[in-house]
Amino acid sequence: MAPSPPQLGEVVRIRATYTQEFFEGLGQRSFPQPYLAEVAALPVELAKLVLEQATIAPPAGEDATARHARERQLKRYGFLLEHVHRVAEFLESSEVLAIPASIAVFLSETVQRLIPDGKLVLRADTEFNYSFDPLAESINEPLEASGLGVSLPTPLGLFKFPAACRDDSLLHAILAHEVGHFLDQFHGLSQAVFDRAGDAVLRTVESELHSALNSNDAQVDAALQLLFEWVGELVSDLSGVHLLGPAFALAMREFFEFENDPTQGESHPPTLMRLDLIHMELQHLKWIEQVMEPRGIWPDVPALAPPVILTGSSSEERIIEAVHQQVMKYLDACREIVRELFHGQSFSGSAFTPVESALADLLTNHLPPAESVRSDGSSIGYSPECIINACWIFWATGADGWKAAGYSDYDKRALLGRLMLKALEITRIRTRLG
Amino acid sequence: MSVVSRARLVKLLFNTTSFSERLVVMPIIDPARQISDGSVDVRLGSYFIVTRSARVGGLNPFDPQAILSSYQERLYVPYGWPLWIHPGTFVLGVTLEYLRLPQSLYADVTTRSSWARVGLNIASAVAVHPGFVGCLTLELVNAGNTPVAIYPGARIGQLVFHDVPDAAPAESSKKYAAQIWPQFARLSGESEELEKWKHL
Repeated sequence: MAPSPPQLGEVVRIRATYTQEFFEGLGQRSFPQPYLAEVAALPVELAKLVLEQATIAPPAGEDATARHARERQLKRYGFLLEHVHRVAEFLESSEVLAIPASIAVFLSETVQRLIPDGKLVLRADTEFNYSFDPLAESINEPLEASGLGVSLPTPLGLFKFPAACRDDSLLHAILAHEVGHFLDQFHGLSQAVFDRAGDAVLRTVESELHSALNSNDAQVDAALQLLFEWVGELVSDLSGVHLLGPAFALAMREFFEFENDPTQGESHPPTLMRLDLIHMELQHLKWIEQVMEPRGIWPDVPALAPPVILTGSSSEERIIEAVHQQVMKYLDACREIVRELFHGQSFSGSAFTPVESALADLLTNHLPPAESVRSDGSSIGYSPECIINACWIFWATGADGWKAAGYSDYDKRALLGRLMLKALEITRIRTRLG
Repeated sequence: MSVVSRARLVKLLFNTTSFSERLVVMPIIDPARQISDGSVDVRLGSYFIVTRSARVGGLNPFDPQAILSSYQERLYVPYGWPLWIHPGTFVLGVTLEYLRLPQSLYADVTTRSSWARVGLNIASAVAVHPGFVGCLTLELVNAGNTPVAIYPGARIGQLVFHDVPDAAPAESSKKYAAQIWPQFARLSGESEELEKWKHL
């Protein structure tokens, strides 16, 4: 006798059970840290809800319409489990503590300052890049469609960092940009930028895009999508400046050193446009003197001037060039929206400047820049942002005196990273227990 | 060498602004409890190295081909959470405190008696030389016959300080300098020295 076809409800029940067991096991096996066990518990709750729903027996005498509606709902549950599975894949390979704990804790506390109950998960990636994974956002759509009446109980920020740089603590200042993406997602900053600029600007933009792209609707749509993504990147850069100040700018500059053409955008806005926007925001916040030359190896290249659209270029290039022209119309709104979000919460440059030399003295003497002893026996502690900035500026300004101690560059960088980590740890202990 | 008094320790820790003369123990969360005559209590840090014994038949630290880090695994335990050490087990830990000794001081690191009485020994290599900079690697062994839970943040050891008479400014060894994690052994670098002994 031929086997009967599997019933949709049974399939969903089986998948939900396996999903629940997998995440429960994951919490035990991969994440001995209470923090990650807590994150892994979220999908367990979702799987349990799906299981409860899928276990409800069909009513007796169910007609064809009701059965069809029920089956459609079961398919939504199955779809939801697929998304949960993608989160599993991320968590399974996540290494929140591959980035040393004091950085992870600093980032986590930074996120929670701006996103109540927000949690971040970090994962090493083979690609040499820092990125924000929108997976958590994509899980909310099927959640809404499933009609379970729940959403992820905790905003989840999934970040990737280059695996080979896991111990390069200074470079992780770039994660402030990824935190910016999380803020954008949670607070809807990009949309707020477009709303702030207004319909009149949008109409002009659309009209100019039509004109630049010869009224090719598909290309105009692609350009509008890219414009929205670029605004998201610029808003995240500006958030990075407000979160970490000069350290963020210096880390970004270093990361961009290998750009082939810093004037050309692609999935991201042109590097020089980003650096100049960062520079202008640093000026606004009165932190620019610590960064000196924020444009790195391209001091003489004009960046904010929009390019001329070349008629002979490919459609992709024409879209990018058109977007480059239009995004300029949103720069002021980007600044306004981010400044409003950080109103009164930006990293305080005025608190940093008077202690900068004391912190440099500590670093010169191979001491974590966490606390200075005064002559009366009292000690001064420093904020995490001060510590990260002290280390970056010490590094970027040449770290005088270190060469005399016989360290090669790699050793100096590694030592500086260790001193920064220890200082962040000490500061956290002082703040909580001191 | 004489043991340093509490009053002098306080002066060296908190009332000495010259970097070269200052004793650094960072952070000291509870000075009244941590500093006593001759000694400063130190706490257990969060990072450990445990041995993956199933992967190797034995350990020959002088084998130049041996990569000690492949036998050993770094482990992070959050503050306030336990790490269980089973009887006879050896684990490398680290002090929470970052230290720097001036040239005029030498220290011994020892287990606090309360922990020693549950079978724990935290240090076999007890000497901390003048000029040492960094967190101390601790060699943790459960010498008792019952598993013992240790907790990052717990006051587990003490540094007993001694004056070094006629201290000369000397370049301290950089082998383990300014570390904040427990360090894998680096004995393989000394295998050349051992080679000479074969010719005796």
